[in-house]
Order: sequence, then structure tokens, then C-alpha cells
Amino acid sequence: MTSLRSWVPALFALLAIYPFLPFAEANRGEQFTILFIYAILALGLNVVIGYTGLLHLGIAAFFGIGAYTVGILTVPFFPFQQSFLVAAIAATLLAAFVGVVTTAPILRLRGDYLALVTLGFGLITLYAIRNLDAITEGTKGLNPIEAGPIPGVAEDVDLSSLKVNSEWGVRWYKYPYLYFLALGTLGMVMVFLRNLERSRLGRAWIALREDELAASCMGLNPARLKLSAIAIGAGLAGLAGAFYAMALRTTGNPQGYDFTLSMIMVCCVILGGLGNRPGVLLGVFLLMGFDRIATNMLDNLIQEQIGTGGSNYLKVSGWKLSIFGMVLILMMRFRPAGLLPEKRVACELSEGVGERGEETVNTKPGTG
Amino acid sequence: MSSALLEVTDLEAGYGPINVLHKLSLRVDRGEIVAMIGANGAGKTTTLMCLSGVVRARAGKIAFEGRDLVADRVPAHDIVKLGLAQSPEGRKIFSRLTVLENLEMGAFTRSDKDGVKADIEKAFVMFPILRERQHQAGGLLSGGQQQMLAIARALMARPKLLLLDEPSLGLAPQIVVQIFDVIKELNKAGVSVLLVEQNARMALKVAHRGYVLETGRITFTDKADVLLNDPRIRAAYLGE
Repeated sequence: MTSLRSWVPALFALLAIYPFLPFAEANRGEQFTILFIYAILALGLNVVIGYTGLLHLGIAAFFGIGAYTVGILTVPFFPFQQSFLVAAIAATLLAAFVGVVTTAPILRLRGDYLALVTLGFGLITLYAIRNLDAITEGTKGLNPIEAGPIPGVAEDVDLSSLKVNSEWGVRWYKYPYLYFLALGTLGMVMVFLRNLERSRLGRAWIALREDELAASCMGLNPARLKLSAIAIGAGLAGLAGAFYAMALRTTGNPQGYDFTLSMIMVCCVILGGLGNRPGVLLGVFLLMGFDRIATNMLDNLIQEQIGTGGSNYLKVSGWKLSIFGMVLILMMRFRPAGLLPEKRVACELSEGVGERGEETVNTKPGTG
Repeated sequence: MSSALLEVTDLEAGYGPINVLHKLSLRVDRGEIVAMIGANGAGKTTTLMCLSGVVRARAGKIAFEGRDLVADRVPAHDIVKLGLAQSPEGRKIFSRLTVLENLEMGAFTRSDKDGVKADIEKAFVMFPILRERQHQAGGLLSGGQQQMLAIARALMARPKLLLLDEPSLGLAPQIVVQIFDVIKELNKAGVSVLLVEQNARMALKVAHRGYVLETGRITFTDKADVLLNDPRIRAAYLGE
């Protein structure tokens, strides 16, 4: 298990040189960019579910808020015309703020009840986005999003001297520039979260997840700790949303921020290993990679090999959700702590742990 | 009166429609060990939870060093800062944190890093087994070791008053003796202790004074050795 520590930097290095490789395709690179964005989203969710143990089922709402903030601040339809940097910061802060404001009143709820309220919040946000036609353009989405990267810098950044691959574009929000930006941001998020885990705050979250009563006897403030987790988690989700809108150059159909996305993100976090950053990364790459990349490849492959002539049951994409479900059931049976279990969670699930008394019924969602 | 560290007057508290504590009054002086004994459901844990601010008092006064925690609505996390720490019933060790991390968590409200380090060292001297197992998960300790950790963890806040809820719960008699020895030593070092116990005999042996709690009311209070020899107490709590 010790060799696992080094695979994350190795993966990042590999992804960083990918665009320079001769076989790199712009198309594939753009798909990877989306994966990086979902990874940021899942890491944000992991702060909330994995670190503090609050089962949040509405993370997609913050993703949407981030995307629409960027939309509103950049599209020609509105008078703001900000750069991406400004818009992304605004998206992060707004999502964090909404997270705190919507969670503060429900902090007394636990477990399933909290999950239900967050689910409701996700749905309300989705319908609000869909129906606020005057601001969000309803189901059409806000577009085109073509802001410059930082204030004063135009959207055309001709880096043709750096061109090593004929598919490299000149606009910064296209492959490979946005690819590098998203990858770099993901890397920074990973480092930020690693430091956070080792900080006093990170430790306090674990204590809180374990035993709220004991934690308050130690002088921890449960309300403030939970809100700080939500703020960071929602903020990261908002940041991911900002990148998402930029990558698509539109906020797209609001359907992209619905409950399914929240659920898939929860699956990614649990599949990879609740609370374990590299695990979450793996979960996203496996699940979203399967969803966004592998199914299409397999579809094409089957089409070429067999020539199905359009019969749906031979398309992998039609079986996608069933495969998801199967994988999750098998995971829960054979690796309940995830592919890369977080050390501390694994320790709890294994029978080696001594008697903890009767207080194990606390908030520990997802692991059961 | 001036030596009173904690002075509780007419405290009322409860859950939902039920009042558990009825006009409960008690006092802990500086340097004292005070035992509170009583049967299941008498309100012992509720009293401590009230003192720690986890359960809100409905009426009455909790004066800690002269400051009324009830009237000032001091939240639980600030009460620890004032110098009132609790080792809760059932130990409630953070089982996924290591022993060392558990101790550090006890010092959560403190910002003096060197002081915390020195106090961890003190805890290790007091409980050598904790030093040996400092990098193990708290959940892997035995019951007695967990109790030691729970006490050590509460001490990390440098409390003036330490609240101990059932430190003997579920422990072998030999370990219980050990734990009570530690309580005596702590007291000698200047920590006042409010001890809640079902093991009345042990508790009254180490305590200076005692309170007997019955259905949320104090029914007897006296010097510990007087209580220990009181025939009614002996019949009701000491099984004689």
C-alpha cells in the first residue's frame, strides 16, 4: 500500500506531458479537462461528506451556481464583461456564501434528515435556474462565454511559438490551455486539501465526525466547524462550476446540474474511498471517465467490429447506469471503505477496533 | 464563600417536556474533590452536561469563578476556555485519531504550542502506556487505557475544575483503583474535581465531600467519610 503514495504525483506528471505527446488529440484532451473539473467538484464534496460526515446531496447546486456566476459575469448579454479570473473568484465566493447561508439553519439536523434538506436545496436551485428566464436564459443556458483569462488580457493568447502539436489552438479557453489551467488548479486543490487535512481544522473535523458530544466537551465549536467545511466544499464546487462553464463556453442546459450529478459525485467519493483524496481522484477518473470517455469508445468499437446497425441494447452507453449500479453494489459488498480506503475509515470498518460503546449511531453516512 | 470555584444554585434542566434537574444546588471549592453519587437516571450526567454547556440550563445559576454561565449564555466551546473541562461518560475517545492526536484535540482551545507540548509530556509521565501507544488509533486501546486517555485529554485544556463522568465504568477493579489514584494525584497537583460515580464506595473514599442525587434533587450532602458511614447511604448505595 505504501507505493500508492507516489502514484498521484506520477499521474499529474503524466497528464501534464500528455498534450506534448504525438498521439494526443484535442478531442480527448477536452474530455480530460472535464474530468479534472469533476475531480475538483468531487474533492469539494469530499470535504463535506468525507471529512465532516455531513451527507450532502445537493452539491450540483453549487456547481451550477459557480457556472452561472461565470456566465452572468462574462457573456455579452450582461453588462459586466469580467475576465475569467474575476468571475471564477466570484463564483467560488458566492457558492461558499450560499453554502453557509443555506446550511446554517439546518445544522441541527443529522444524517438522513440533513441529506433530505440538501437534496431539496439542490432541486430548488435547479428549478430556480431553469425558471429565471430573464437572468439564466432558461433551458438555453448563457452563452457564449469567451472571457479573457485575467483582467486586461485578451482572450486571444497566441502561444504559437509553443505549438508542438498541430491541434493546439490559440484561444486560451481551448485545448490545451484550459487543460493545463484545470489540471494545475486541480493540483493546487489537492495540495490545499492535504495541508488542510493535517491542520488543526482538519483534525477537528475528524473529531467532530467521530463524536460531536466529546468534541464540544473539548471546546470545539461544532456549528462553526460544519459551516467552515460547507464553505470550503461549496466553494470548490463553485470553482469547478466556473471551469465547467468556461470549458463548455456556455452554462448549457440546467439539466447538467441536477440531482443525478450530485448522486454520481457521491458515488465517486464513496467508490474511491470516503475522505481519501487520491481515492476520490481515482473514483472520479473511473466513474466519470467511464461515463464520458470509455462508453463512447466502447460504442464506437462495437459499432466497428459488429456493426450493430443502431440496435440500442448493444450500445454500452445504454447500459451505463446498470453498470454503475452493479459496480456500487459489488463495491459495498467487497470493499465497503472504497478502492483506496482512508486509513482512519478503514480502521473503523475493520473488526480490529476495540469496543467503542453505544455511541456509534452518530452521523456516519455512506459507510454503512 | 470566596473559596468556591463552582457554585450551582437552583439549577433546572431537562429534555423536551421532562425536567430532569429540580432546583439542584451544589458547590465545589478550590482544591476539593467532590463526589456526586446516585442511581441510574438520577440526573448525574445531565448535571455535568449542564455545567459543560452541552445541555442548556432552564433556570438557576452556575457560577464558575464568580461568573454566571447561565445568565451569560456562555457556549460549550467557551466554557472549556474558562477552565472547566469534562471527561464524558463512556470515555468517547476519538477512535480514528491517534492517541497523540486525541491529546492535541483536548488542547484545541489553547494556542501556546510549547505549553501543549509540555502538557503532553506530563500526560505521558502520568500514563506511560499512552506514550508507548501514542501513534496508535485511540480505538485500539483497551477500556482502561481509553479511560486514562480520556482523563489525560480533558487535562490538556488545563482545567481548574475537572468533571469526571463515571471514570470506573466497565473497568476491571484493579484498573479502577489505578484511575482513582490518578484522580487523587491530580487533586494534589491543584486540580479541583467533580466526580460522578455509581461506584459510590470508591468515589467517597477519594472525595472530600459528597452529594447524593435522587431523581434530580440533592437529598444528602456531607463530608465524604460521614456519608460513607451513614446507614441510609450504606443501605442504598453501598449494598449493605
